[in-house]
Amino acid sequence: MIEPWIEQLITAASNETNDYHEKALLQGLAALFQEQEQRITSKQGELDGKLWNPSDW
Amino acid sequence: MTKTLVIASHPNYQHSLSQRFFAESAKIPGVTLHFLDQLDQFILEDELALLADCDRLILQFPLYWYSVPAKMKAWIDTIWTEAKPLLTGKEIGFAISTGVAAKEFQLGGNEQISFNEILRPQLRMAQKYHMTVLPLIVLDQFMYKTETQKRRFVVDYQQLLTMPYPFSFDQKQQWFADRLHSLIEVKPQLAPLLTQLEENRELIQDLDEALDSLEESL
Repeated sequence: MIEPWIEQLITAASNETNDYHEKALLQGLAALFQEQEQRITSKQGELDGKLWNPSDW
Repeated sequence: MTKTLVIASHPNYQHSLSQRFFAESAKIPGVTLHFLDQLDQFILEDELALLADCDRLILQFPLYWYSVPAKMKAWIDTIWTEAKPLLTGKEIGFAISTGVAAKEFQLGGNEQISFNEILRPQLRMAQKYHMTVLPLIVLDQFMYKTETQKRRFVVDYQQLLTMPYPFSFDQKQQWFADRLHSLIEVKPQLAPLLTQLEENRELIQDLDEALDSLEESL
């Protein structure tokens, strides 16, 4: 899930333009933000998991 | 900026929506579209001059009976031998269209043959000149594509045309950042998107570095 303000800004910009390349770019951009957020979530989880080491307690 | 030359052929180009879609999608900086079917004959010097001036070559065509259309084959037969010193070490990609669904071109599909097998001669042509072969792009059944699918294809194709190889996620982020940067010049209200994109990108890099250093310390 991308942040609501990002989605709103992209949707508004896409509705405003008649340029096909720009609409395609904006749609791709939304997908990129989604992929970034997925990677951040999974890498943060991986880091937390690897740092959690009970033998060090 | 990568200089890309698209060599395109479509025997029925006046009536082909997919061909028009390919051509419109390629109208971006750094890309030259050279359409073969409007030429009566090939002038070797002119064709070679185009090849000399490009870093990346894209052959774009519809599959015709599991092969390239006749005009594309004629172009290959006319110029490929002479083009060796101009193409050696450069990048090449294939952008093909087909009226049959792409999923049929695989083991167990109705066509019983894969795109990799169909394009074997073109792959060998490229390998002969030590060219870097880019990921294949296929536009199948254009008539049935939704608007979302069409827009996604435009971006995928434009990335094939202009994004640096090997198309890593970081290069993808940079590609979007570059385009967004240009768009912000006329639409400054989109600037927060670029800031966020760069922040996310840095965070991903930091996390990668943290994971790498953790891996080394174990």
